[in-house]
Amino acid sequence: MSQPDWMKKEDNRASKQAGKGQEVANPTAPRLVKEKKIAPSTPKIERTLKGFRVDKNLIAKFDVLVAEQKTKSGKNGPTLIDEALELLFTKYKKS
Amino acid sequence: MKMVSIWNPKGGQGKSMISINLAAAAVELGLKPLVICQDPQGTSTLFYNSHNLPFEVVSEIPEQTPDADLVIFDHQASDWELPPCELVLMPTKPERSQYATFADAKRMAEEAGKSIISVVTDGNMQRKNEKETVLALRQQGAFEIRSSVAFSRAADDYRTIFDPVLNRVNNIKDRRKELEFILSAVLQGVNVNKENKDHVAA
Repeated sequence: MSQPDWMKKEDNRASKQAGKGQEVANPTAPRLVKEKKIAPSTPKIERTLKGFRVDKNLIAKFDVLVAEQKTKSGKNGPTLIDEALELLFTKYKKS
Repeated sequence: MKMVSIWNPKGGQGKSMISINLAAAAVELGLKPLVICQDPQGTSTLFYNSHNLPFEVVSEIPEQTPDADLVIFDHQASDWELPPCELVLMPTKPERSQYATFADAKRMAEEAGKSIISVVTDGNMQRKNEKETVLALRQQGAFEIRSSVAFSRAADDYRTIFDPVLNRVNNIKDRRKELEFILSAVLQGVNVNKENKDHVAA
């Protein structure tokens, strides 16, 4: 099956246009100006590893919590541990 | 992580449809895709808000590298700014006025050294003129997503065509295969049009 005549004509028109340094068919028309949006940055936290021996049952519950929160609030394991520690500090400051 | 921009300044060529269905095809393959909706119309976002998609759609470019295997930028219509990705997927419908804009934009992308995957969308093979154009574009290496009720049925509920709810829709397997074929080209990355051309010629 042959190529429609107009395809070649349109390809040639685009090439000629580009040869003249013109990118579009109507260069004088107003163009869209895009507003560039980048997601707000989250403060970077310097992290370190700390080893604990933790109750097996609590860890199993924690893994489920992390899986739930990842989809609900986007919080991951380290973020939730930070949150837990903050709660501990608050609790023992009071007592 | 692979990145692809779905771009054509002409509206209504299937950019958002390809974005979400390409992501759904990636999920089927066990990959984790992310769609970045850069269109104020927010078609991809509307699909995402329906809670029927098995992947995430965000409207802003994440500052940090996202946890994804494939990042798909769904660009807006009237956007003549060259997309940021090296790999650009450009859909076009097989009518002259649609093709004219596609030809201009493709020329720009070629001159900028982008790797281009052309996709002819919504072609109706019952119409002689459209069939001629579709086949000519395929000869040049374009992929094809044929006109199908599957897409309108899926859009009725803001679903992708890979949703199991649509398993019984007529010719759904063919439409899914077309998307999977395009996905494999995206994952291969460069010079896919040439390879597809050789494939079509063979």
